[in-house]
Amino acid sequence: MIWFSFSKVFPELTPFVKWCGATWIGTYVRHAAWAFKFIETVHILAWVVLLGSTLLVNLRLLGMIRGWSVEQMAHSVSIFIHASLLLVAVTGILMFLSNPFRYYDNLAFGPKILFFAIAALYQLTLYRWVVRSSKGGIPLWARIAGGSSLLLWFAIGATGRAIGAI
Amino acid sequence: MNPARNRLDQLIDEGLASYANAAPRWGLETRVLRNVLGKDSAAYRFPRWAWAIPALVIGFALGIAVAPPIRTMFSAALNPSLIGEWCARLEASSLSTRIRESELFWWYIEGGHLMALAVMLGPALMLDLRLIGVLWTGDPVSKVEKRFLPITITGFGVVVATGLLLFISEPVKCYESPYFRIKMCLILIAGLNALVFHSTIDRRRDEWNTTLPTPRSARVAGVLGLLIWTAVIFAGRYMAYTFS
Repeated sequence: MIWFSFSKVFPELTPFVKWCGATWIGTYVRHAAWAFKFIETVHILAWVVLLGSTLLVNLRLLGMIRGWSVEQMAHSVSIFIHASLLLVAVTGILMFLSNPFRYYDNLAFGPKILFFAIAALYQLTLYRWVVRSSKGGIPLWARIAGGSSLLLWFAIGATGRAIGAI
Repeated sequence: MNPARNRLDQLIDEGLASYANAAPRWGLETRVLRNVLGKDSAAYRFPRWAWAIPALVIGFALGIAVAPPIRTMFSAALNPSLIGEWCARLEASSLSTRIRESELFWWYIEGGHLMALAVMLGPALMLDLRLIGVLWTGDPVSKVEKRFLPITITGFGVVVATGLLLFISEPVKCYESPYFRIKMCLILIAGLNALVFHSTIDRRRDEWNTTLPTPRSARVAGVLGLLIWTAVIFAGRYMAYTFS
């Protein structure tokens, strides 16, 4: 299946992961009673905004929302995509620092980070080009780009939820 | 003169004449006007009878609080321990047990609940920001509502369905959790907020469809929507922490 842990794939990273857990911020989040819950909730909130706003652009690319051009839609929601990407990354890093070995050994964390890296790269490079070049009609490859981006973001959510389940 | 050339001219003339004679599809003017004014959203106008729902709820509550015969009638049903018992009976049912003890199904519902929440709140966020007058200000409110509300409603349906299944799987814990009670109250308030918005200021949308700033009550509805749903997410997540 898709499940793998970073501790199996990159065992040489162990000293770095140990160092992460020893940083003062990691120690703080681990010991403060309120911190982890709050950070995780903000992480989920930011992810909801992220998925919700990419959803709109992707539905536009798929032709399921009409009334705006792809570029207008992407321009309007881009601030949410970028702000929530940043927030998701910051809170995610804080959560990782608080208990790095939990994630290092987790079978769902590996695919989640992999999907996230692909999606973030995709969003910042190829996707922009797709958005810019789909004026007027929406070509088939733009629809495929929208659909695959949508799937990727849902997959990130699913694997992210699975971290807590495994 | 060249006869072939003549024939070509004749064909072009005929073609142009047929273009000129073709009438546009009926209602062209209305369609153009609609697009210009953005007044095409009659479908999402809230019915006036929707007021009956909060009126009934308030009347019911008042009736129980004020009128003694009605109070005695409902006191048994409103006994908190009875709700707890009902939850316990629900928890003992085969459906509840099956969901609770399933290996993956529960996680799929839980994941679906979260994903659907994103599908619901993304477009709702955009509409709220339009009501506040921050984003999509170039578009009429009716257009933003018409394009985004169906997505929100679809997401809401899935959220409610998965949420019900989650509740059925662990009704006693839910009932006893203060966060769950807070969350339900917040959702009720969010519903009331939407109801009041759609049945008052939104009915007179034509007056402020394209003007900025938006009316104060629309801004209040937008800000309330954002705050309440953020609080719902917090309550929902904190509820789960008390479960495990």
